[in-house]
Amino acid sequence: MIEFAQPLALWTGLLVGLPVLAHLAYRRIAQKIPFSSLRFLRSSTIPRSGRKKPSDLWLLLLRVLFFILLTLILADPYWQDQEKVLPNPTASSECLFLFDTTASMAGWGAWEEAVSLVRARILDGENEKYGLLASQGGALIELPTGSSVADLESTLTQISHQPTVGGLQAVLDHAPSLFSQDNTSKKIVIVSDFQKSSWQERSSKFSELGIEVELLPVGHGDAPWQRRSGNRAIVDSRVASGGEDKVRIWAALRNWDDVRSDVNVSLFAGGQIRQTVVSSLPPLGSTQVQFTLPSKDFAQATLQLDGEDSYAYDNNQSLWVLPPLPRAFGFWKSNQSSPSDKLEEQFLRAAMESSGDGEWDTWVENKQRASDLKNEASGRSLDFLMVLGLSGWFEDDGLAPPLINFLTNGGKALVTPPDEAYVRMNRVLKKSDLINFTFGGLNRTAFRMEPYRIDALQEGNRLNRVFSGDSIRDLYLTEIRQFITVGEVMDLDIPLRDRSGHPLVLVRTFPNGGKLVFSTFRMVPQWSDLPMRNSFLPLVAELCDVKDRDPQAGGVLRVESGQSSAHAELRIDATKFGLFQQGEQRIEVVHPLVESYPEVMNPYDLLDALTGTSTAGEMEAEIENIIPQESQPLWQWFALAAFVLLLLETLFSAPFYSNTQKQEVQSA
Amino acid sequence: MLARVVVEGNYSGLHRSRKHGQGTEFFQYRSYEPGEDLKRVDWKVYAKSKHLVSKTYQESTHSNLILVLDGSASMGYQGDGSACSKFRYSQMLAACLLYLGYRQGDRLGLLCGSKSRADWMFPHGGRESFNSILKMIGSMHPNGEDFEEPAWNQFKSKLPSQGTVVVISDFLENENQLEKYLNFASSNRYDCICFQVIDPMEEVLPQDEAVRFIHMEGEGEVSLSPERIRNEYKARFSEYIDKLGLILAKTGAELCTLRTNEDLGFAIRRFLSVRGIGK
Repeated sequence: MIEFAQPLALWTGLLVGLPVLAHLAYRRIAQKIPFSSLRFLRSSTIPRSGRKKPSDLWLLLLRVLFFILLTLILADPYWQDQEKVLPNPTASSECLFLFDTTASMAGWGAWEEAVSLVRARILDGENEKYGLLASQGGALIELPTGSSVADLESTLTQISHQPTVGGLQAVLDHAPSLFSQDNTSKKIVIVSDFQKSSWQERSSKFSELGIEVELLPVGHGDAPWQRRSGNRAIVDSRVASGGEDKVRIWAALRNWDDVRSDVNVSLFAGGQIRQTVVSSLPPLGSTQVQFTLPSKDFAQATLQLDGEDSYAYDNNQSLWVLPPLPRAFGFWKSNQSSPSDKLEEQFLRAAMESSGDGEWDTWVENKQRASDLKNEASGRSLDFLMVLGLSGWFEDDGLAPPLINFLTNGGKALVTPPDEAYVRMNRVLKKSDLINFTFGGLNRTAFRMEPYRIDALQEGNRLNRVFSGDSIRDLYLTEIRQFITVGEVMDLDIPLRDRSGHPLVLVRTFPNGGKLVFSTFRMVPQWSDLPMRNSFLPLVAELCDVKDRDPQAGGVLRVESGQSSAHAELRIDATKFGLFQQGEQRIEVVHPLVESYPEVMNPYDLLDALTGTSTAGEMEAEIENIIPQESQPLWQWFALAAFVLLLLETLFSAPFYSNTQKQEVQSA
Repeated sequence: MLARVVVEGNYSGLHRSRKHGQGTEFFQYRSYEPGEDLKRVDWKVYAKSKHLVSKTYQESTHSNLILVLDGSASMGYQGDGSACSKFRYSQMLAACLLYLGYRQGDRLGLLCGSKSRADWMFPHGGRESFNSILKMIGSMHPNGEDFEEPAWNQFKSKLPSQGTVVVISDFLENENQLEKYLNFASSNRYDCICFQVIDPMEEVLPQDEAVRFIHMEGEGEVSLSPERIRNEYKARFSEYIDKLGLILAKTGAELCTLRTNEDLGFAIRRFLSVRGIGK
């Protein structure tokens, strides 16, 4: 039967009104008459009149037909054989159905179609032994070939699509083991929507095992193996501080269709719709919408796309809307704190507490955790540790192992020198293998002498990201009055030097992002005027790399459904969408974005990958068996008919040429 | 014209200018009249029938009748209701005139064709010449534009020293040039009569509601409703014919307007009556 690839184009059929209007209203075409002389003639208006001649009616009919054909050509007609090739069990005696249970099977009616088609084949098949294999919740549901029809039907009702991605390769790998060892023909029927992201990396070698492969596409509608339509998705969402007492939520929306689409996006919080935004999605494009909520009133919110959609999984997304937990910092210092220790602690506390934005992302001192950290064999309960005036007390308290543990687990620490006993400090550092350098004495500015100053930052120094213009001038004007001379530095970064090239800050990087920053001067006015300067706060934050929040440091971890294996420590069921919390860690399990993609695989490529062969002849033969009869485009025939009509129309519509040659007297 | 025929051709009737006697071309038998020259008796007939009959011969009048027949495309026009096209009518008219001339023993010449192709036959007497001219006229088809100056100049350069020139055309173009083209008519050695052949439809326009007229001799076309301009057109056409008569009168030629639905005999009578005016 004739079908149309672009049925919307049929609306252009309204154009048939044009020739009808022209027929009713347009003036008649003047009759052409050859005339002996035009010198006595002048042109005049021609009266309008309706067409009355039968020949004009034929002309009208021709024109109407022409426009109808034009409309049909625009609608891209093709001939589609009505008989479905799908239920075509071959002579194979063992047949295993492999179910794709990835998330995309929930859309486009794929799952219902899959169950219906497979059930029909199981009931129709008489001499075949059927088996079934599907992935469910990370495990494989399997029925070997030869299972009873009752078992198969029962399993069909139990299995369902999963809101996850992946699992297909495991199904493919396990499939051959479900066949019997008998010398019978074997066939695997893969029931799937063959969504591109799910299948493009799948491969197998069924041909080598003597197993035939049949692709049974579902959820493809009337156009098998073509790009599907009708899906819009929430592809991302974020929460951020929206100013005083407000939370800003934005979502990125994606339109997978090639026509513009208007959608309503609603924000649910506290069981009610708090806000609805109308958004116009460009064809095959994305757009953003924003919402605001009162801060701290709600812990969770859900974004939802309203209206009909071919694939519903990606129409919702839940997210935490609470501010992230404050990050914690602490101090280690000698029990007998010197005035310098106290002053330095005061300065650094001020620096850290002002590092966040004061509302959404904050720093607080946690003395308990700092104290607990001294006894922890592993772990990272602090986000930033500052060891002030490191000297003999550090060794006496046995703090080197917990500090190294802290650093190797990704912790960040700042160490400053003591007021005196520098040799002991150097020995402690070397002995504990924290940082290795040779102590070279103390550089101190003599009375009324020019102080030491920070040298220009080298190109590539990460401090250049923050310091420029006035702020770098402020940094260069910093007076360093005394600092420890460091010699023979081993495997350390030196982000700051004085103008003579002496290191002012040493940085050692540990695995997992840990970082130890050793300052050769103390953050007190006696050693430097840095604490009094504007550049003090950003310099400490940048040097210690504590500006950006670690996603797991009291923030929110976003996991795509089915990706739980990458976060094994979470101990959550990441096969369901939603919000979870483990201790202080907040987790969002969201829909896997790749499953929203409406593209489907090329059946030729897929068969090639699954069978492990690339013989064109064999492949085409198999495709013939798998794909429903290819549609035959008809537009050429319609175009030919339209051309013939146009030709006839031209002939008929040409002004009648008056033939004045009549029967004449033939002789004089 | 009639006086000249009488003087030079022993003319004894309107179209009986034939001179029997010393000519070379056999004309007819008649009963021998006593006193006639015995050389004229056909003895073979006498031997068979025992009747004395004498042969009469036709003599040339030395009068020239030259026809100028317009074969331009516009002559091919045939309006609704007309029995024939203007050109066919002109062909018949020319044939009649030629026959008259032939009966009178005139030497017959012809200029026919159009701008693209002009055929000229120098005046000759006799049946063969008459037949050739008829054949030439019969084979013509209207095509192209009117004669222009080079054709007329060539025609005039080949004119015999005297004669009657009959121009058959629709005279719808180049009327201002006619005075120059026909200047020979002012000489008393030539008589010139111009037959203007028109189709009745050319005077009144067709009855159609909307017509696109295409010039038969050129590129132009005009779309119009004949009903809306008919009166104006008729007035202009009539005015033109009057003007044409005046122009031809200046050259010494006479204009006779004929419609293709008019009886041909009527046309001949008008022709002869025009010739008779000078009597």
